[in-house]
Order: sequence, then structure tokens, then C-alpha cells
Amino acid sequence: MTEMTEKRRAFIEISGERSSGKTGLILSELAQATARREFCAVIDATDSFDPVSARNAGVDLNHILWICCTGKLDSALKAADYILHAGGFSHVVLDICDIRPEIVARIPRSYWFRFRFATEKSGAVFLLITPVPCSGAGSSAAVECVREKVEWSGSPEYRLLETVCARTLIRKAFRSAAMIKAGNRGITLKTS
Amino acid sequence: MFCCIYAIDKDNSDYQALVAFAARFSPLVEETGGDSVVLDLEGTELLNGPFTDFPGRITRLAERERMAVRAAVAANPDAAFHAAHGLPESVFIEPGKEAEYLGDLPVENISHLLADITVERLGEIVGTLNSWGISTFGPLAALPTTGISERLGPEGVRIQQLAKGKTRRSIIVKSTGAVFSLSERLEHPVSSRETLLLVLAGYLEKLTAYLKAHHLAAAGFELETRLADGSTYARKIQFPSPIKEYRTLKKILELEIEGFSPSSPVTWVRLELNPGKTRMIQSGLFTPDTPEPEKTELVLARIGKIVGQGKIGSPEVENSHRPDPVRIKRFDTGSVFRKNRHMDQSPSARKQPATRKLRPPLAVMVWMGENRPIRVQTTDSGIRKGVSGKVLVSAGPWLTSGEWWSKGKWEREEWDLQLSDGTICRVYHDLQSNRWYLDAIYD
Repeated sequence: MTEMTEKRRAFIEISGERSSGKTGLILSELAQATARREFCAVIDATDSFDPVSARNAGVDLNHILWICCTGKLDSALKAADYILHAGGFSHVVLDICDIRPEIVARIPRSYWFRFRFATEKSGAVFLLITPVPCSGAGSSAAVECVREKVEWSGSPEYRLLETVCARTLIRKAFRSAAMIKAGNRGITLKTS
Repeated sequence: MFCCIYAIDKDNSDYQALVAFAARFSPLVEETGGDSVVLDLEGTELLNGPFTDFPGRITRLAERERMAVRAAVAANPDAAFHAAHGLPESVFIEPGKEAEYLGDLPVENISHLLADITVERLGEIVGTLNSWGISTFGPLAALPTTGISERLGPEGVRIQQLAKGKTRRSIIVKSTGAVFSLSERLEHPVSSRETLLLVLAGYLEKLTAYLKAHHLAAAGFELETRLADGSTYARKIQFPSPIKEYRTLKKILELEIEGFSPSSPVTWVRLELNPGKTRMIQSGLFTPDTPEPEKTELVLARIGKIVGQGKIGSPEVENSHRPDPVRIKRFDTGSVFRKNRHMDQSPSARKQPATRKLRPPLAVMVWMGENRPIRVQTTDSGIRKGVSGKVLVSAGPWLTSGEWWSKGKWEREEWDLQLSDGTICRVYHDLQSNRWYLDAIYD
């Protein structure tokens, strides 16, 4: 994941079922970005972002712009568009994770291409968290989070949730804009 | 460098005379607290002489005009303010030595205006500090900021920064010579918002040109209108960073009055721009990109119109044990550079799974067996997917309650559950309403 986000100008889709570790992955990425004093924007379609959890993960909340869309998907998409075009943010997260998959699937594909072009222009990393893959060819890369196991500790009367172990599968490997342009011209680029 | 001039005998002194006196030494004068003014002295050394001699010179000149004042010069306006108010004589504070000069001042001297809190709240905090044996700025500045934040909240941290003399802010300038305001009784009353915008755009163009001629920018604006039926419509907005571009200001003004539909024609209108110093930033080669303040302000105004006010900004965790102690504060890229990583942001020593909150919590049905949840079900709630399944593993109950003395009292029994549909969640039983709710999902 870090390798992908270091490339910048990347639109990365992160999908997975509930409790598969997507949020933990995003918070870890935001913690690293804010530790570098970079500003990040979180467009939260369902007001699910938990600042307490983010703070515990090491995110510097002063470097986060949080936009609460209160369940309005179209507002979230518009806000993401404005933020990407404004620039200045190293990471822009569009969180539509808690929206029903059938509604997510109905989002026109043109949105994702628009976000991709805006991302390439602004130099940011655009992270889309979604319950099901939906961006198709619009994203530069796609990963899927799969839960492996849940660890509980303590006796049955005093159990504690310790950790949720998850694995990320790369569904679509990252291809930079240069590589795509070269591919369209029938040129093969060697990468180190 | 900044200079604070404090009128010692404020009951018998003419405040406007003090402001006019201060304006002779700098065009950038802030009226602070009704008994003092703060001047921005940057670039005035050739005019006023060395800063080290300035406090004494100001005091002597004021005496000639029968004003009893004390002056203090410091690297930031708040340190100059406290020094002028608290120290017995006029003083020049060398940059970096603010804590030394301010160390013996009593904590009661801290200005509630500069700390941006009410007098009552300041009194509470001072009372708490006194009970800890902290009575002066020095010991307060020496306390660990994390502890201050945990016990006294963000207000305590602001007060500590004032005690250290390390705050940085722009002064809010009210120039005595120039007034950046235009008002007019409209010859032909205006019935529509679009026509009103045209009128205001004309004023705005003149005022921004006026500001530019004074090498100033707009730190905020105030709009006031009177309607034919006697009612008024007013808007006031302060920007985190002064803006000087006419187009940006016009767009913000448009967005601000978007919801205004005059019930009767507008007969009188006033637009005033609050002047502020133009911000100059030197970007570094190796510092990360930041959002441009002017562009950000415009984008935030646009998004604010879509999602609603109060729904956009930086998250802040309040010092409270209540569930979801979160609020949204103004997003300001400028202030972040002036402080170190926030001391109360230290990651938790025990790694916890990340959570996603449900706001508001979703009502669920819970079946119990042997005093433990065995099944949870909720329906899809609008756009959000519901949960449904048998409980495979449960942890709890964890009892939590608080604020029993106020209307915000809560009392709940929390459970962490792993369900057969794959969800790992936190549900709680509200003991006051006897209902179950889905509070968060671990992800």
C-alpha cells in the first residue's frame, strides 16, 4: 500500500466486506501522511469517521479536513470533486464504505474517470473506500481487504477484542499515467 | 515586533485619544480590551527608532500629552499585551525571552479575550491552577502540555501558550484613517438577490482596491441590509487568513447570501471589510504542499453550502468521557505550522482495532440468552446497510455512565460482538430508555 501511495497521482480503490480492515488500513496511511505534515481530506458519506480511533492510530487531527455528508452520496461526490480540483492535499479519502452495495454500483463510471484525471493533475493520492469494487477502469489500482481472523483475549466472562487480522489482495496493480500512455502507443517501459 | 500601549488610569483616560496617539507610530493598530492598543511595528524602525528604545520613548511622549501609559514591545502581540498590563514598567522583551519576563505575573492576569474563553471559564481554570499551587505564569508554562490538555482541555492549552508568551496571531487592524465600508440608501429598492449581488459586487470592487492601496487584505466582512418592511438581514464572517483577491471575496459573498430571499425590497445596504495584514509565506524546498488559504476558504464555503455549516472542518476530540466526544473546529492551515504536533494526540499504547461510528446510533433488536446477546438484527436504514446474524462471540457487558448531574446524563451497557454475517460491532443497551443500539463497527 505504501509503495502505491508513494507514487502519487494515484487513484486507489480499497474494497472489502464489513470488518475486513479497510478503515485500519486508511488510518495507518493517514497517520503516515500527517506525520510528514501533509494535509489530508476525508469526505465521509455516512459520518462514520471516528476521530478517537484515528487519534489512537497516530493520525494528527489538525492536518485532517473532515467533510460530513450525512448520508447524501451526491454531496459526497461533489465535495470530492471540489477538493481534488482545489489541490494542496496529499491524500483525499472518499469513504462510501457503509452505503448499500446496490447504491454504490449505480454511481456513473464517469465520476471515477473525472476523479482520476483530477488526481493526476493535482498530484494527490485519491483513496476510495467502497464495500464492493465499482471504479472499474477509472482507478489506477485496486486492492481488496479480506479478514483472516479475529483475536479475542481473556476468559469468557472478561473477554476483550484484541485485533482483527486482515490481508490485502492486489486486484489491479498500479500503472502510472506514463505507463498507460506508453502502452497506448505500443511502447513497453521497463520498471526497476 | 509588536508594541502594546496600556492606559494605566483607564477610568480617566480617553480611549479614542489613545488609539489616535498609537496610529502616529504605525498604520496597523488593534484595539484590544478597551484599555490598550497593540501596534504592529514591522518596518517602522526607520521612522520610530530602535525597538529597544521604543517603550521608553512612547511613555515619555504620552506623558507630554497627559496620558499615563505603560508600553511593552515583544515578538508577539499577546506577550506584549500581558507585559504591558502586568509588569510595573515599560519594557522591551528580547525575542525568545518572553517566558523570563512574564514568569512572575499572576495567572489571574491572563486575558480571557486573548484566550478566547468566557470570564467564568477563565475563573474556573485559574481556581483549579491555584488549587494545584500554580499562581504565576512561570510554573504554569513549565507544566507538561499533555497533562494540561487532559485536565483542562483545549482552553487550558491556550492559556498555557499565553503564559509561555509563545502564541502567534495576526492583529485585527482598525485603521483610524481609513474606513473600509460603504453604505447607501438605495434610490430604487432591490427586490431580488441577484440585483443585490450586483450592487454588492460594485462595493466590493471599490473596497478591495482601497484595501490594496493601503497594502492590506480583507480579514472578514460585515453585511447589513434594511428592508422596506422594517426587518434587517445581516451576515458577518471572519476568514482564518486575510484574502485580497476580489474574485475570491465576491464568490464567498455570493455563497454566503445564497439562501437570502428578501421578503420585501432592500432599501439600505452596508458592506464593510475588516482589514488585516497580508500574509507572506516563504515555502521551503522540502516542506510539503499545503492548500492555498484563499482557494481553501472558497472551496470550504462552496462545500459548506452543499453539506451544511458545521459539517466541515478539522475534527477535535474533547476532554470528556462521554460517548463520541468529538466536535468539528475551523480548518486552518496557518495555525498548524505554528504549533508542534498536538500533545494530546499521542497514539494509544494498546493497539485497538479501528472503528467506524454510526451517527446517530442505529436502533437494533437483540435477542438475549443466558444474559448474553445471541442474535442481533436491524433493517437497512435508508442508504446504510443493516446488520443481521447470530452472535458467534460476545464480550461484555461493559458498564459506562456519566454526567449524572446534567441533562446529558448517559448510562449504558456495551457489548462487542462478532456476528455470523461477518460484522464485528459494538452494541449498547441504553439503561435509561431500555433500548438497544448499534454504536460502531470494527473495521
